Amino acid sequence: MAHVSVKFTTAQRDLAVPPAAIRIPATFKRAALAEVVNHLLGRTDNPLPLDFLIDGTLLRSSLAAYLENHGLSAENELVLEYLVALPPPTPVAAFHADDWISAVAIASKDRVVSAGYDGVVRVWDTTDGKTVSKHQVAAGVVPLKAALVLPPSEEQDASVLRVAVAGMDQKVTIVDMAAKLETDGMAPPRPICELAGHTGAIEALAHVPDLDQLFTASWDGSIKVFSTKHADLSSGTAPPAAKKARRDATPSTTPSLPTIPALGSMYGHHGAVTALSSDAATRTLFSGGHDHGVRVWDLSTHTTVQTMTCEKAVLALAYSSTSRLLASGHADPIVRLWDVRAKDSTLVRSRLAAHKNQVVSVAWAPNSAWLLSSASLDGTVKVLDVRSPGQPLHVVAPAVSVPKWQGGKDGEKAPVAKRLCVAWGEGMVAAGGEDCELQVWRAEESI
Amino acid sequence: MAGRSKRTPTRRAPAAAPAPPKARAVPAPSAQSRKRRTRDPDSDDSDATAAPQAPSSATSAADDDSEDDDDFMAAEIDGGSDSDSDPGSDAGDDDEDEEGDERYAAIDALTPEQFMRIAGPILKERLPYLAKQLAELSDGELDGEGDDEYRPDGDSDEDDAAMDGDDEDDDKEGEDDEEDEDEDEEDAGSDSDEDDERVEAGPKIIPGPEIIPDTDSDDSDADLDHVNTVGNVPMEWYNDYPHIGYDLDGKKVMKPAVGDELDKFLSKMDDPKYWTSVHDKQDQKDVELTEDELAIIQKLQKAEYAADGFDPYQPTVEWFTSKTEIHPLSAAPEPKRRFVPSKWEHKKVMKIVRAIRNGWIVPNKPKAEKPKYFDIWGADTAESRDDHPMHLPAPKMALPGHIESYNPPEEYLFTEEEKQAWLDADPEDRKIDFIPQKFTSLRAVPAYDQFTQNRFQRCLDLYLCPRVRRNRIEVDPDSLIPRLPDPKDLEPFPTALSIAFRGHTGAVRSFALSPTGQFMLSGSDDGALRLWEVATARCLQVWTLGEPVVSVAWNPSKSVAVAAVAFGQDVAILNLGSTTVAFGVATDAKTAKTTTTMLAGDAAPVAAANSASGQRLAPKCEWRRPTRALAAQGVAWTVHHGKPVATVAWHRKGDYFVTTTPNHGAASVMVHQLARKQSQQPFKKNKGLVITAQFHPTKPHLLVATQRYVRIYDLVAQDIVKKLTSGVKWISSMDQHPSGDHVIVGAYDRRLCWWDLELGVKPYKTLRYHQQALRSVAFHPSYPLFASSSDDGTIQIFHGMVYADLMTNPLIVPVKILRAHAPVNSLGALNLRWHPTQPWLISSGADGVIKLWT
Repeated sequence: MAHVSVKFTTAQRDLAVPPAAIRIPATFKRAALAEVVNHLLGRTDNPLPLDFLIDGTLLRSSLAAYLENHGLSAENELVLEYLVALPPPTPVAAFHADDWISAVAIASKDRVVSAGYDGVVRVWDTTDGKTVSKHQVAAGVVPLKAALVLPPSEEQDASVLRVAVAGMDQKVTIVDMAAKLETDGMAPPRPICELAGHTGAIEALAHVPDLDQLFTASWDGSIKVFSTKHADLSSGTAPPAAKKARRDATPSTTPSLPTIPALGSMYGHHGAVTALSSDAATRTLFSGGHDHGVRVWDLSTHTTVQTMTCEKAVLALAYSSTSRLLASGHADPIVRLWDVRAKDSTLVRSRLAAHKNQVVSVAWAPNSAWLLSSASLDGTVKVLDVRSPGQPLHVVAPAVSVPKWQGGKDGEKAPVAKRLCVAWGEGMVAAGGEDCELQVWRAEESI
Repeated sequence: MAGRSKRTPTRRAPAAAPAPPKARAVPAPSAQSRKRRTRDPDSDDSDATAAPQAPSSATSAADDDSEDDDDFMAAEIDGGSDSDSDPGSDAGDDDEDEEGDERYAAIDALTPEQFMRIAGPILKERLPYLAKQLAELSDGELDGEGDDEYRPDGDSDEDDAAMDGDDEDDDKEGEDDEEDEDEDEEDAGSDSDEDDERVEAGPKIIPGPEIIPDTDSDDSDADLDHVNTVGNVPMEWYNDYPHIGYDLDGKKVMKPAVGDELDKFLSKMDDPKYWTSVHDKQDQKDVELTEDELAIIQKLQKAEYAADGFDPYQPTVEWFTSKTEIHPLSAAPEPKRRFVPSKWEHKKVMKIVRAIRNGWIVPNKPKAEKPKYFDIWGADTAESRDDHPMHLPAPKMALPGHIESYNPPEEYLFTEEEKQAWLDADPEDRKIDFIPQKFTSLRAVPAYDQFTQNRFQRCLDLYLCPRVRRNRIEVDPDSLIPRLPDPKDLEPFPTALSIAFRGHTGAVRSFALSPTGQFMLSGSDDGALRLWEVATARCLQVWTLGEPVVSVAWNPSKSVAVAAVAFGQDVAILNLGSTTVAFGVATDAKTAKTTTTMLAGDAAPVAAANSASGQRLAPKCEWRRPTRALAAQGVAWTVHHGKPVATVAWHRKGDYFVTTTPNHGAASVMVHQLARKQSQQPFKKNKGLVITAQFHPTKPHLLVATQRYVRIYDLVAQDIVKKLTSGVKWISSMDQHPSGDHVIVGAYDRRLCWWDLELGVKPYKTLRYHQQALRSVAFHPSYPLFASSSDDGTIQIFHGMVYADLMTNPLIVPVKILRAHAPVNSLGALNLRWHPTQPWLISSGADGVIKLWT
């Protein structure tokens, strides 16, 4: 198996090479193949980074290894589709927060919202790395677990980001954060209301803009529906004066907020519901929980359409309207992809093995059918390609040690800092975790 | 019989016809007649009739002489009384019998006049008959009977020659048969009426042998004949002695009295038959030759046939004619089978043809050449032989090594000491049975002096050593291993480390998870109690209790948020719904309110509690308000025990909890009620060192593990239900299956015992997997899993499926070993708990780390 004959094709017409088959050594890997193609293209002085697809799978090994793994003979002619490789995300900025960052949301091209275990919501300017706005959710330390930027509406001031954060206090706090840094300093955030009703910590939020509804997943096993209409939010009833007085008596600095009850509850999961994702186009909600199940909810009837189970607890969900795939992170290192519309959708369509520990957050590239990013407890953030199930496309953030590690005896090495959240949008990947740093990368979705 | 078989040929060898069975009876009369014939006519006659009287009168002396001959004598007397007295008549002649000799001697004492007076009439009467009898009965009879016994060597030729003819006569006459014999006698004695009478009288004499049916009549004949019983010894030995030998008793058999030469001469002159008699040395008597014998002698002298009337020129009888008959014997037509080929022959031939075609028979197959020499060293000696399926090959001898060489390497040669030691040792004690020797060349090697001994020993080894055919049992070793399911089929179970909870600086002895599994409380030897978020290992709060926390238990009720923490001599009741607790934010308002309400109020007075329970016990436990420092951290109550508390465990409903304080006497086990803030002492007596106590998950039972036993008490009936015998030396931990029907116990002697409470008080299984003492065991509340942690730092995870079917025993399969915690001061994994909903395991170790395994 010294040589195999390959035929190079491409979808990009300007990079097409002659369709003749070429015999090349079977030991060639991606770099050598790229060199061959660049040679054929006459770009020896300015080579293009290329990736090669065989049967819809990115070539990540030598041709010989590929043939052997697939039980193919060297007599076969391989058709290699090449495409310009995606460059790895480039770091844009890293912002230091005071505590673990547990949730991150990308608001606009230069605004990233983060929530942390200290109960603080921050709006960051990715251009200069400054905190644009900051809001302490509750008086005590309320670890926040989820953050969401609600889309702007007509009534909303353009300079304001409406953010929904939720955490262990079992409430969703809607707060208007300033999107711009005033010349005289941070504009004070304006909490709007609290969405209450859960009896357990809230783990995930999902918003469906068409319905203008917010969905919350909680440890109490229910998913609750809240209206995010401006009118509804502002019509919240303020807590009774007596209670307010009592709260004031406690060393609380934040004033009590009006509490808005849920529109309804969706029950189905056994145990905690830990992940949510929504498909606005089809008005579908996806939820995953500790019962190892992923449920598909029809939002017009608020009933479970489908239940898909796997062997591990679901920790994260992300739906891509582009690829129409649902990606899920689990208590094992595997990212599972579900094709919700397929007939056998109860089965995992493919598994992406990229991490070494639980995958606690996944995020699709908004405009790509293949790319998604994942954050794991092994401390890494990776860009995965659906076409490359065995290996990640890029390691965005390598594992780092816990900063300021003091514990441990006998010079024990500092443990790896866990990554807890990742978001992808506006050409940016943002991730945060135990190292208290919000890191932002600029990532291309396609060439 | 040997004698008979030896004798018979001589007597009858020429006889072609077989002797009929009754032949044995025949010789008797012939013998008797022969005796009579051989007697002197005058003396013979006397004994025949004297027999009835003679023995009584004349043989009295003989009786005295040989008592031992009684039997024989009786036979003689019975069979032929005449013979007894016969010899007596031969006073001047040779005796016939040895025993008779004496009697003859007695008879000899009679004067001829006396003898004749007695025997004369008898002899007169019987002589003609006897003479005729003798003439009839062939010479062969006489010779055959007596030839081997007393025939002189010189006579043998004649006798043999005579026998030829005699036997023919015998055959023809059928004289073997007794009746024939009689007829013969009649035929022979057809001379006169007197003869006939005597013939009738003959059988009267004969009966002797017939009395003894089983005795060979030949022998008896011989006995009758052999009057001399000295044996077959040369008579010349006794030429110079007065006796001719010894009888069976060793007494001398005397020679008959013989007169001097003058007497001999005179008697010779007197005896007209002297010329026709010969002297029988053995019987010491003269035997007179009969007419027939003389005739035979004369015939032989003339070179004629000895037998009378033998015609050497009789015509030939052509039994098988040489002429070919031209006409068939039968007129029947020839059968068809003569003309058609034989079907059976064809079948036979075809069988052979088929065998040849199939190669079973190879014609002209060269014979396998047998090897000329047998290769005793060849491998085939050890092989099983085809002809003997049970053949046991002889054990092979060890092949000679260097030490046996004629030119061994130097190291094999004996030194002087070794040689001396070898010589001094007993042959059995020597390691080798020779002294290694070195020779310059093979030529110089002498013959092996021990060769014979060596071969002998080898032969002894071969045939004295019992050989046993050992049937090798072909067992696949894998099949002996119990069939256990593949661990892959038993998933899920924790396999990998997910999260490590770092923060404690001392060994973490206990921890507890919230009912949902979201949070965890852990207590450490450093006196800290920590609250963790399980999913991310985020430490949410730290309590400093001051004393090592040994046990933490989270109230299983979902309506209250309470934990019990045992530290020092106290159990702290922690209000987790308090706003001062980080967890408080995770507690919904209703639960927090319920908790606060329940924990508010005063503790029930101890005295009241005692009186209510009807026990008169000194207060051993006291519910106290916490110190200010503890109260600030959310501790609602502390229950003071007065002795260090070891464990604390909640009832499933969350209202009661049980604490154990070892070495606290009867108050080692205390049951506390949360709502009433009240303690009870369930036992009056101390049953031993209490290790741990738990409430039964379904029944109102309390399980108390002491050092070796687990006792199950019914709290309602206030009675003991069961006492489980562990068989271990020191129990360290205990847990119950969620169904409540199974109990596992870990012990410091590395054992894990599983009881099926339905099966009895002995452990259903005792497992010993760990290298070190077990520290903790735990059942998963929903998955069929249980695990044990040990001081070796490992955690063994088992699949422990319990079937609802009572007939099926629990299935226990070890599925995973987790190397969880590095031992610190020989303490390893101290505690483990299962996640309440997930197949996740949480373990804590002496290294201060808590680990979540998924």
